[in-house]
Amino acid sequence: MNRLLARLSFSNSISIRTILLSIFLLLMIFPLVVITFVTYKKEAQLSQKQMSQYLLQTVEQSHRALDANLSEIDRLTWALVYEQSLQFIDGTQESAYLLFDANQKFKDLVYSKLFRGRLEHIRAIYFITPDGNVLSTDNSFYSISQVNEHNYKEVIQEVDRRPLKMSWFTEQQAIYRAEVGFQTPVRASVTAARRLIDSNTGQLRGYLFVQFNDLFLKEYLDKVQIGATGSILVSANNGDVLYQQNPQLLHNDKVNEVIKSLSSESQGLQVVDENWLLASDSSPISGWKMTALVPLDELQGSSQTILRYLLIIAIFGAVVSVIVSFLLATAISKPVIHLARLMSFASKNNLHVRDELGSIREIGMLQVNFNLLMERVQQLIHENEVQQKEKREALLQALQMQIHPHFLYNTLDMIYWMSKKHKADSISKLVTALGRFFRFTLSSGQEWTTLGKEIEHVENYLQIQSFRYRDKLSYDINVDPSVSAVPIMPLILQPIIENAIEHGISKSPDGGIITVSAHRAEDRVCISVENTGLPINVEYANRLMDDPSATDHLGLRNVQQRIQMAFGADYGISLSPGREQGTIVFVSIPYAH
Amino acid sequence: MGVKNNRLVFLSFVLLLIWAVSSLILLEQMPLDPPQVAAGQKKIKVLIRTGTESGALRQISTIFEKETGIKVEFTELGRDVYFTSVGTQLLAGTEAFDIVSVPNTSIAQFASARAILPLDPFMQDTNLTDLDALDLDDFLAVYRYQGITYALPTDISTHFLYYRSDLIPQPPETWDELYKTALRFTKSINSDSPTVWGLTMPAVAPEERTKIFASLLWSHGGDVLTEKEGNVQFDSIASIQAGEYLEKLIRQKIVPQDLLNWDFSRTREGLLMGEAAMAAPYWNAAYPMIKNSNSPFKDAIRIAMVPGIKDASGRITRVPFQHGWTLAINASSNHPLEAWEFIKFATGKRGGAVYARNGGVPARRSILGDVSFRETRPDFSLILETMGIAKNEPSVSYYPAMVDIEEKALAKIVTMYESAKDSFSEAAQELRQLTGRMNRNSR
Repeated sequence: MNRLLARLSFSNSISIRTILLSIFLLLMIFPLVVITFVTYKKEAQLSQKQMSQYLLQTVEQSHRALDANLSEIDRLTWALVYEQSLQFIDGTQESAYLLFDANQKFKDLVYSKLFRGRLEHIRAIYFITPDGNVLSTDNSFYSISQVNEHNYKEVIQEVDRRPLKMSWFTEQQAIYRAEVGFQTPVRASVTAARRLIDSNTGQLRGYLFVQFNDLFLKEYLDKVQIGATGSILVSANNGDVLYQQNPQLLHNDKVNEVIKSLSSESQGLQVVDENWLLASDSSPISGWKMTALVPLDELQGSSQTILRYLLIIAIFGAVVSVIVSFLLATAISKPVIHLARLMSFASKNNLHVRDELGSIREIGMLQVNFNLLMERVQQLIHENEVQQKEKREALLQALQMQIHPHFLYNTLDMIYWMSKKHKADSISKLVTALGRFFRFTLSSGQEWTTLGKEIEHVENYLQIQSFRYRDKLSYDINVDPSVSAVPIMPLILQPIIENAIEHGISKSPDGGIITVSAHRAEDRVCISVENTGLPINVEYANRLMDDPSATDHLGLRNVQQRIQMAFGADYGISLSPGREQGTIVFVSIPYAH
Repeated sequence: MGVKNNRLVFLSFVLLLIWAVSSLILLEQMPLDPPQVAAGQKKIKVLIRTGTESGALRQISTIFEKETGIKVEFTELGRDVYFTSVGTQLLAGTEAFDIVSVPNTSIAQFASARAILPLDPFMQDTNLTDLDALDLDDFLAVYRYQGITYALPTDISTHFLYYRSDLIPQPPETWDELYKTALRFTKSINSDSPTVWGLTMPAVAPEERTKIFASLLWSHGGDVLTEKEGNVQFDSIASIQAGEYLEKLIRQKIVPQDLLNWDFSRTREGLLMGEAAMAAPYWNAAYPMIKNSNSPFKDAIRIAMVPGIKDASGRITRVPFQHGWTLAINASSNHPLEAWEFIKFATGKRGGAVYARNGGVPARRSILGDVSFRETRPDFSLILETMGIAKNEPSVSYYPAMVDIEEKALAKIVTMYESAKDSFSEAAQELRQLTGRMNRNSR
């Protein structure tokens, strides 16, 4: 039962290798995962922050560069603002030629003097006097009747609202659109307009309009790179788009809504539709909004690359960690496991096993002590075996020395025949029993006999003793024939009978009956010797059975030792009070053939 | 067992070391977005004027880029600012373009200022040019300055008479016939006329006015000045007669009163919209555009040689204007060899064929006479015929100043500010001052 419990408790336990493996894996993989995750998150945050900052700076700088461009255009017109007589305007209404001539002078002025260095960006320049005369570099525009009245009014209102400033307008607000004469990729773009007065009199001379082609903005803004796939857009306050690098990016309705809702004075960053990072800035000169748009995927692209590499490293690291954990756990646990197995093996009477010494000091000490222990146990067992053997030999020798068997048999035989001659049957029976008793006793040097022979010997002994205690002792023997052949050591039962007669029958005034019975009980043979004499202290006697220092009931204790030495601790003798009086001694031996 | 354990521990450390080293190597191999560096592709920039020729040149460049790997970028300028911008940039030594498209009349000015490169060294280098393949004799004109080639023509232009064949079965052959015919189709004179004006022509400046008037001037026997000596002939009787013919057209309102604002496109629209019965002198380049238009009159509009002057013998003298648009290399170009490669291709026979298929008129006899174009470009045969008698403007370095004076004189006539005689006399005076100044400078 104890062994079973021990096995069960072991089956619930965890092996040292499992514990070590778990600890190593935890110690190696957990930090690996944590470091990988933290590195990725931080890198992604840092990358997005840097990109956002870069994006905003790019927008600011691009807008400043564009504003510088606009300012330069503004400055080119300053010559007309102060001390420029514009006398060629006067009298233009008098003849077509004078108007033509004024137009030529106007062309010379604006193309050859003012805007000569910027001609590649200019589509046309117009000057419209308060009385509706038109001077134009565009031959197709020569009359005030050709203007878009709505746009013209709006533009003039805006220019008059800021009379000293140059105002900027979108292509949709153009006061005149020329018919397309030739297929060309060059398109009309923004218009700059300003009010011109006579600096001496303060009188209005007219309105100057400079219409630019799309190169004006493209040349500056095409070079602005917003990441790899980002785009930049310039829009007016009214939502008109002046320039866009990648129209595809602006097909998103939410993006368009946000761009339109941006305040003209706002500057900042925001994430739109969870997919776009948008940076915007507004120009104090033109009021235009510059918006840069970058897909967040692009910002996270490098983070994703780093994550991929971190994941590869982490997976590779995890594999290495598992292998290393396994190797280290094996290196540490293997000697312990080996030692445990050796101990288990040794417990099954394999006391010859020894363990090799390992490199781990503490485990090495265990191994050394195990080896020493095994040697000591073997030594003790050997000593015990020698002692037992010596004891048995000494006992046998003593018995043999006490009885000279041939002499004894001849004498007993002579007594038997004399008792027959004198018709003394009692003596002849006694002598016969005595002879058998001695024959068995003297042959008891053999290690094993059968239970049947042992019972027969006991019967002889009881017969002899019954002559001694004539009226006091009677006996009864009941043996199951199936157990007669069971092997047993000789002279096991006789000391029990002796003890029953000496302590039970002899001390009882009325004597008693000794009943010897034997039967099989499963894998055991149960033998009982019951006397009805004076009872003994059963508890005391039972305690003495396992007490090597006891001096009472030596015979019973010897029997107990012999049985247990032969058959193990599960077998032996036990005492209990008799059914009515006296004592019962139970002997248990294994059933075997 | 101890040795085995030590081996396991050692193996563990080796594995960890391998992991650490391989991780470092892997991180080193991680592709980081490199700073974007401008691609090493060869690239040239071409400055062109908006017009038929710009679209055709773009088509040529597409094939050129595929075959040579040299990228071609175009900077296109409007017609109003083109000459001022080209002159300014070239003489300012700009590096903004490698090739410039200029009319043959500008070559002398830019060549004398060394603003464009002579092409002879490129042509004579056998490593760069196969002269047989280039076939200079095939060009209708190769424009030289002082005997040196500075540009090769991509496009040739001349003047035609455009007329509504449904109204005018036979085109007028003289200026007088033209005038009489125009009278019949001028609404203000003949209220039954289906057209507003009997005649129209471009008269804007720059580019159109003096060039258009040249066909009229030369066929009357007049001229502005002689190219070699610089003798002014603008106030000659023949020149004044030409001026007076123009004056007559204006006074009779046969042509639009706002003629000074009529450019190439407006004139084309006048024909296509049925406003004008004839256009002359008018550019040959309009013909494919008219034929490709949606106008109901497009099939009725036909072309003929510009009219001339019939002499006593009955012989008609026609002197139509011709000029070429050429490609020249900017003297400040950083990629002259690549620029020459493009000029060679664009003005070559293959480039010329592409140019012709895209509406242009290449300056090559072989292409204009190619039978494969007979169906699609019937104007080519008339161009070839016209080119046999056509004349160039004088190639002088002071061409812009000369044109400026001439334009002003013509404007005075068109606006009826002065008579042709007075106007041309004043202009001739200015021209003599100009040539005198030029001669002094050259001395």
